[in-house]
Amino acid sequence: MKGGRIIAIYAAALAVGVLLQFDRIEPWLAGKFADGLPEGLAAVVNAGESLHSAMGLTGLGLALDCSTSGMFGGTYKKTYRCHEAALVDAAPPAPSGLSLASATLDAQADSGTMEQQAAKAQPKLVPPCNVLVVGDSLAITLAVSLEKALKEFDGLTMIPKGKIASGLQNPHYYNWEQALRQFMAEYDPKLVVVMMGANDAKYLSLDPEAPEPAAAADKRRAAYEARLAKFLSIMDERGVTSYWIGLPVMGDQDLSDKSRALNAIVRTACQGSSHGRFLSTWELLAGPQGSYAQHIQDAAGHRVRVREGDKVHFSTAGGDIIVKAFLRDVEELIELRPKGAKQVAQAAHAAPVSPQ
Amino acid sequence: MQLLSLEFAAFFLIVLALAWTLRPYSTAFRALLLAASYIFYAGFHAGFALLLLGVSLATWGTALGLARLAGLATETGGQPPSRKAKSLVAAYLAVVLGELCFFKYYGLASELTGMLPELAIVLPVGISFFTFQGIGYVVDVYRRPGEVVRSPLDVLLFMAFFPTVLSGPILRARDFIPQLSAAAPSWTDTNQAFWLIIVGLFKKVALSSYLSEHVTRQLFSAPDDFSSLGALVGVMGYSAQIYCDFSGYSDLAQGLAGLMGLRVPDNFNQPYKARNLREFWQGWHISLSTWLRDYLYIPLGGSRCGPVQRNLNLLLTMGLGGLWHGASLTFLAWGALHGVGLMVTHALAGRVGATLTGWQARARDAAFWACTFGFVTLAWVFFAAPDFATAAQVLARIVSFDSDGTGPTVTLTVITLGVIGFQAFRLDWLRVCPAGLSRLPAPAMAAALGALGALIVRMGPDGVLPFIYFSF
Repeated sequence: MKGGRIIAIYAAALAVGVLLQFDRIEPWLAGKFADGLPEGLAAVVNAGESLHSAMGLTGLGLALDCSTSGMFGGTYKKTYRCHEAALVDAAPPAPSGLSLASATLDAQADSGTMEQQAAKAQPKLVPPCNVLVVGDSLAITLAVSLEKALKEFDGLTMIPKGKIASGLQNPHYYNWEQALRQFMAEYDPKLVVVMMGANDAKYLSLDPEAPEPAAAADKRRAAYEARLAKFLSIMDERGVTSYWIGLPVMGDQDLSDKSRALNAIVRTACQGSSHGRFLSTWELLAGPQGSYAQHIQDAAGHRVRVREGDKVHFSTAGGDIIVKAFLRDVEELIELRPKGAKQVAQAAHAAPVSPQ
Repeated sequence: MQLLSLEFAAFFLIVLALAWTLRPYSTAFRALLLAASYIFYAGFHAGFALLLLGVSLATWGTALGLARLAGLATETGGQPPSRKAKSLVAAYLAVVLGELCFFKYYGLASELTGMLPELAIVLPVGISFFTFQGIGYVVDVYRRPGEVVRSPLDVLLFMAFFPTVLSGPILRARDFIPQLSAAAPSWTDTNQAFWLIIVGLFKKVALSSYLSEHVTRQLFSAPDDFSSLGALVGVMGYSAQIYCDFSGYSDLAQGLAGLMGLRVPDNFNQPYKARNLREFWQGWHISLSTWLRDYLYIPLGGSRCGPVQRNLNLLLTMGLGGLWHGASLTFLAWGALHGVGLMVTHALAGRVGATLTGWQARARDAAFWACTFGFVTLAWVFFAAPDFATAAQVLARIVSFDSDGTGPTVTLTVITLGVIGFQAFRLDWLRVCPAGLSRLPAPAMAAALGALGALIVRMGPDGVLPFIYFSF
């Protein structure tokens, strides 16, 4: 039975592969079941985990990952797992004043291209300093434009650390709290730019007629809010300004509604944190009526493509528009010294002392 | 459902078990594969599946119409293809190429003209592949009406076959469809099929992902951050990455089909060992290059009409081939560069160092290899760059001889040179290990395959990147 042999080998190889990689099964399942695993499946997963652990595979996998972590940069691997104990020990206690007010989803619609919040009393940052960029694939795209822009200024070094398909909703896939602690310790940034949420927004439930129990949706949202507060607190603890770039309008109506709701949650959280700021991008990339647009007219009147074909991501031109708005806003917080201006200033300064 | 996911692995186990169970019952076997293909494809977007169904039915109906017209012509005296047949083919091409152009090039046309209304179009995955597959079949039936397939089930499956629907290889109906009703499996080397899956996983998950995340994405978004050497190795890294990405997918497709007893054609044959561009295209994306040859270059006149016409045909074929890859003028430039390169190759064929022997011939071959690889690698810059300005920046960075900036890491250099060196020195690792596998008893073989697969996944990123070629 040739077919039977093929099936048996494939099935057995798959089983061996799954067992050896069982530490990756839980994150995968967590992404599939946002409200927790069904009872029967949870029992199977627990049994698998026990077997995986009893065989020493959990420690072996981690040891392999950590011993090769020097080969992998950025967020390619979850290298924070190699420093978990140190990162937790090093974390300062959470500030007492930080509490997250629950966002009112419908009361605060994103309006206006730029939303300036009440300025928080902070001394203006003086370069040189590191600017850490974290988040999902939107942050990765944003970093391309931001890097170009920051190069125009003296003393600003960008550290891009985006992770595709990540978010706060599924820490099993990528634990941003741990990763942020690692990056903060490693790079000591003075400003953190965050853009993520497209993968989190889809977990929100806005439809009161939805078949799922409201309690489950509320629980999920509360969990998201708690993680968000914790995430922001990591930067607050160190007195580092976090700059959250909101989601732009999306092409799919359902995702767009959820993204707007998520923006409201994040904005409220940023307002509740001591060093958090929120920049709305909702209308920056929208058409004339505030709806989704693939192309828009730029400041010079040229028609430019600002979004990618998937109706979620923005193009480099779209990223440039967001970054321009960001720079206008961030000037309040950081001393932006154009490189040319510095050279002119240096030359002017040097002239009197140079021998003629 | 991504191809590299646990969902797909489980889905394939079910399909594999059912396929071998139903193999003796031809209709049920084909129906199962068709259902599996549509379940897989609809997983990306239900609307995409409807489009695929529409194009497939149009392909089936047109081919049937052509066969009927040919039958009528035979009854009335064996006339050559009638005007009606030509009109039917023209109408079919207008529909399917119109569909391809709409989904793929509307945005580019809108940007270039600035006059078309705003439409947010999502590109259906694999549209270029299944459209070309359909065109190939219809043109074959137009040329040889006897090749018509009357069963809609077969044509629908040919168009939607799940291992190849996303990124090829581009199938030929005459090779694929007869396998579906054959009593014996066409692919009998199971060890080779398993090994192809392992090799495909390694190329895609371990190598391509590493290169993408550790050099090429940064290089093509911020070239000025790289030193000259860093940019040069980065560009070579892209050569290695795109090969690993696309040939890795082709290996997976071949392996998956092979486990079901079906043969899918080779798509790559060590392209970076080529000593000229003709050899390169004989080893790179073979199913596309032969498609372009058979359905575009030869109908245009090929090399039969003198050197001037041949050069024009080469330029047009390669230019369109470039544009097939994406709606951007950079892809057109990449194709045109290859067109010009092929023109030069034809012009110089047999004229440079043809009489050399011994070490001189080896030195000549080495120089030819270096020129070919250098040209192909520099042309990839236009393929990878989002626009001409970035491509120019990358090239300028290479020739700036500036040591400031990110340089190549040891791991990156080893991977890049390893991928290229394996081909340049003609090491055929694909053929070596299946022999070792075949000596193992089934349980040991399963354990070895499972362990290898797990190790490869462990070497990859936490979260796998999409295939480069999905977007084509």
